Order: sequence, then structure tokens, then C-alpha cells
Amino acid sequence: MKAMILAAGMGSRLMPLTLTIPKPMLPIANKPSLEHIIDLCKRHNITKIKMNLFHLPEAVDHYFRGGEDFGVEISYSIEKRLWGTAGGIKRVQSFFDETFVVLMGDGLTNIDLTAMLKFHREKGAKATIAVKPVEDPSRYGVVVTDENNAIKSFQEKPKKEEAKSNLINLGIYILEPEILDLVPPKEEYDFGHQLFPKLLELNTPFYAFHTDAAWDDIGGLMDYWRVNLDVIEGKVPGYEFKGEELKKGVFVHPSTKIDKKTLEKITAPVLIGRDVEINSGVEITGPAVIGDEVCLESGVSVIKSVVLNNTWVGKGIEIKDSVVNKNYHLSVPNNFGTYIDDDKVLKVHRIVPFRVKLDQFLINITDRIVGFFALLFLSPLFLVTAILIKLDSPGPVFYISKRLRSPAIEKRGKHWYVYYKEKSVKYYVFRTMYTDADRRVKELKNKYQSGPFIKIENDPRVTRVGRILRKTSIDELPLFWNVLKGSMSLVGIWALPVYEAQHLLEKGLKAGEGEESIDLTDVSQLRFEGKLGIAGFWQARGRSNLTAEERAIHDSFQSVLDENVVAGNNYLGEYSEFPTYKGYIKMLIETFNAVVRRTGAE
Amino acid sequence: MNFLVEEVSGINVVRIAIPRATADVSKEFKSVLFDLIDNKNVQKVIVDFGKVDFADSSFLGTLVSGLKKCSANKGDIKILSLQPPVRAMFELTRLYKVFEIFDNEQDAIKSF
Repeated sequence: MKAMILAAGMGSRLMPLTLTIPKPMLPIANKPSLEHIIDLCKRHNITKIKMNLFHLPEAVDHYFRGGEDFGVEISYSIEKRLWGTAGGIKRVQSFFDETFVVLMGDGLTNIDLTAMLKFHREKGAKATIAVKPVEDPSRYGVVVTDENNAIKSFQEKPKKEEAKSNLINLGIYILEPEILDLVPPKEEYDFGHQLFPKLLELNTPFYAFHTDAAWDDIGGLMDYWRVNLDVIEGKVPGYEFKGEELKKGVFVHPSTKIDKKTLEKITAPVLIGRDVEINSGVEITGPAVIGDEVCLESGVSVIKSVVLNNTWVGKGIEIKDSVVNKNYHLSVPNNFGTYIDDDKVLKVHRIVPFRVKLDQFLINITDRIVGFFALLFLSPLFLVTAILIKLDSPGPVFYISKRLRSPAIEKRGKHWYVYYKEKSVKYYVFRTMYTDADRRVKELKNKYQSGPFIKIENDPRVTRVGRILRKTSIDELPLFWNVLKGSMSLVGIWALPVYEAQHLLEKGLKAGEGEESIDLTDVSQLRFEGKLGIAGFWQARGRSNLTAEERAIHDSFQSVLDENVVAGNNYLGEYSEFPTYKGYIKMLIETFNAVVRRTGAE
Repeated sequence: MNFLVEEVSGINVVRIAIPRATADVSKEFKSVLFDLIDNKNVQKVIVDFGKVDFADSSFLGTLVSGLKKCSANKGDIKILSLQPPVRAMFELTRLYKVFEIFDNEQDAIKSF
């Protein structure tokens, strides 16, 4: 039997957690729910798995890759738009040449798939749905069967008193491949609303498999929090968690060191992940889950909460009835999520491997040395340039350009609020425009180009000397001052002027036309996470000949890569060398060559 | 003006008029609060967070130093209208145990 895992949902009811983590990757007892589902498949000898992904697919691909480390074979179907539960499977129909099971990637279950398959075969069913009796079925899809468990009808979220049965559809199906012939291609199509009524109409052998297995579809924050606590309280049989049992009900990963005194202040049941730092006076009152690479500063209390990976919690902070992920705090009783923009309270905590630290140190030193000598050797040229600028047009020699490290972001929903401060840097460049240039940029932008990146040919705002400076890139040479100061690196992502950054953030980017167009908004925002520098992928690959979309993608890849190299994982093909020292040097040489050839400049 | 002081039924209400009560305005808040307590000898203060989307620990620290001063004068500071993100900060920093918090201005006034 093969498996299809539906992992394309947006998880909008778990915002703002799902802004950065796709819902199936949210950990339950320190393991993504998707991994629990894959483990379940493996336990039942299902090793060929297809998954459809939509929101933040990189995160899933990056974690599971081909499934090698999980003892299964995984392939992916990346959706550019949502195709519905059945529509998503139809797109990869050729994969399903035998009986297959459909599972939700973002739920929790320990259903006996072997028994379900046996039932499916005994009944000679073409389709089997797993059902479970519940007290109040009003939140679910209700399944009505006859005495032989053949399905007779469905009810969608009926009122409790109107429900014709107490059996609910768990969203776990076993299907014969020919069932997919009934699904129209290239159309959004749903199991519950479209395919199943059709099966009834056609009198297809269609059965309900009764189970009393643990099952939760993890709708909102309350469910997510509850499921985590249930698992570590041992309420869900079949879930084992990694760790040594240091005292009854307190499971700790071997890499995390806890002294006796601290252990006394931990009240079971508690699960503590890998490489966790717990300082003096910390109290943990279970049920509680502490993720991997978490740091709890002295005096922190964690009470009935879930602290996710890479979270740092500041001195004396109390986390109670909450889910915390890095800067995000979600209060369960208030049903509200907030980005805590205060690094004394919550922040990101990462354990950087020595190799990466060493490379960062070497890069830093090289930046300063090259910056110093560049300024020294270029100083005569700077002097001449300064005189020419002064003679050519009135105004100062240098232009202070405010660039955004990242723009301010404010987003809110009914149950969440996110605000990131604007982070900016000042760049010193030689003035190449008349002094009133900034004021006119908006007009010109409308006139010349629709994209967010402004490079206007024969720009009337540019002075005569300015034109030469730009052509030779001499105008940007004072940036070495920022490199020497340490506010930017020689290699990194170009900081955008305010209007360009805002535009990219608000309008996003689209590449391609019509059906084939890809929305790059999420991708392009990643660029703001990268470190700043003079030369990046696009500068090294031919300067401004690239389209705005290509630049955004290059920048974003670079950002993603910075993050992942820190996490100790290299991927993304050709970009994988960066920002190792070797990659940094290579990028410097490539950029130097590109500048010398003057490809694309003006 | 980032802070407006209003007298309601003989109690001084400090209304925070900006959405982000953070380190940038802590100093100004301190001078407003301390001016009331030190120079005007005010004992009963309500701080109204109704318009605030987010407050950081620096700002809340100023609030605590104001409370200390006020208590020394045998007075008290009470808190009014916390939006969920501000409430989260009061909970994380355990300040909900230090301050009395009200959703309704009349209740806050009556509590003195």
C-alpha cells in the first residue's frame, strides 16, 4: 500500500505560529506532526509516500528530503494554488498504481492502518473511510451507515439533535486507484463535498471502518496546546518520546544537562529536548514541553505550556498556559498570539556550530582588512572625485542614503497581532544626482517602470559627473566605510532604499504570466532576513541585467542559505557554499570580475 | 503629546496616546508620571492603555518605578484597558500580580 499525506493546508487558525512554520511541521511533543504520521505509515509497512505542499514547502522538504533518514521514500507535489483534498491527489494520479491510504499531515492519530486495510479488502471496498463515535458530532462531517457498515449518506456539521449518527469522518481514507478516475483533472475538488456523494450516486462499494484510535485534527490554538500536553501525559497510546527518564515522568534528551537542584524544581510530566540550557532557579510545572535548543534564563517559570525550538526566554519571565515560539507568544486562555518585540523577554536562540563560528570570524576579519586597505588605496581617487563633484553641481560630496535592513511590518488578525520594527542603516555614497533628486523619484517611478527596483536609463536627475561615477561604480566605493565599521559585509544582500523595500513588501512579486505565474511574495520577503553586504548573487552574476524577480529570488535564496548554514545544513545546490569562507572568497572574486567587465552597469 | 493627563472624579488618569509604548517614550512617560507624584503630590493614578497595541519591558519598568514612588507616598497606580498584546506582556513579566487591572474606567475609579 502507498500513502498520500495531505500537507498543503494554510493553518490560518494557528496564526501567527503558521506565519513561519507550516502547520504539518508544528511539533507535537518535540516532533513535527508530519513525522508522527510518517512514523505511523512506517509502523504499518507503508514506505512509498507522496505529499502535497503549498505553504512554506521548503521547510518540509528541508526536514524530510527524500525520507532517507525516516526509513521511507517521500516525493512531493508542490502546489502553486490549492487544489482541494481530492484535486491535490488527482494531480499525481500516476503515482497511485495500487491501493493507497490518504492521511492528514497536520493531525494526530495512532489508527491501526493494517486492520483498516484488512477490513477494506474483506469488504471488497473501492473506498473506505475511518470513522469514530463522538459525543457531539456538530463540529464534524457525520457518516451514516447501514448494519453492514456500508455508507448510506453524509451530514456536514449537523446540529447535535439533528445528527443521524454519532460517527465522524476522520479524514483517513483507503482508496482503490480507479477511484481517482472519477476526479476531474485541473479542478479544485474535495473528498467530502464532491467525490463521496458521487460514490454514493454510483453505488460504489463504500464502507466505514470503525476505530477507537486517538485522533485530533488540531484546529486552533487550544487544540494544538491540548494535544501536546495530552501526549506527554501519556493519554495517547503509541507515542514514544525521545529522552532519558531522569525522574518519573520527566524525559530529557541526553544532550541536555540538568543538575539535581534544578531537577527538583521540575514537576512531571515534562519533556525536554536537545541542547537545552536551563539556568538557576528555573521552575517547570508540568504538563510542559520544552523544545530543542531552548534557553531558559534564571528564574523563568514554565507552567502548563509548550516552548518550541530555538526560543530564548529572559530572566524572571513566566510562561503560563501558553505556546511560545521564538518571539511569538500565544496565550491559550486569551486565545491571542502576539509577536513580542522585546529581546529582554523572548528572542531567537541558536546554537552555532564551531565551524560556522570560525567561518564567520574569518569573514569578519577579511571584511575589516579589505575595507581598510580599500579605503587607503582609494583615498587619492576619492579626493579627485570629491573635487569634481563640487565643481560639477552645487551640493555636498557625499549622499547619505537611508536603506532598510528590513521594513516595519504590522499585521493583525482577530486573534493575533504582529509588529516588527523597521531596521535601517545609513550608507555613504558619492552624490551622483542633483540635490532635489529624492523628491522627484516617485513621479519618475510611475513614469518609467512598474517594478519595485528602480534603474532608469538616461535619468535626468543624474549629474554629468554622476553618470561617469555610476558607469564606473565609483559612486559606491565609499561603502567600504560601512564595511570597515562592520555595519555591512563585503558579501551579502543589498539593502534597499525605503520606497523599494516598502514596495516589495506590500505589493510582493509575481513571476510568469497567467496559469503558470508564481507568487513570490513569501519568497521575496525572506530577503529581509539575510545579512547585508555589497556583493551578492545578483551583483556577481551580471549586475543590473537581471529582472526584479530574478534579483528577489537570488536575494531570498541567499537569506535562506544564511539561516540554514547556521543550522548546520547545506542545501540549495549551487548556493550551498555560502556563507562559508570559501564561498565568500569565491563570491568576492566573481563580483570583482563582474565589476571589472562592467557588465550591465548603466 | 504622547501622554495626556486628565482628572476624572478627583483621580489622575494618564492616557497613553500612542500605539507603541516602548523604550523610545519611556523617558517622557517617566517625567509625566514623576511630575504628578513628586510635584503635584498625587496619590491616585490610573494609567490608561486603551490605545496601546504593544508595551515593552522598558516601558513597564518605568511603570513599576512609578508604582514604587507612589506607594512610598501611600498612593497607588491602577491599570486600565489592556489590549491582548499588552496583557501578554503584563503576564509574561508577572506584573499582573503587582498591579490591579481594570477593563472599565468606572470600576477603576471606584476601586480607590
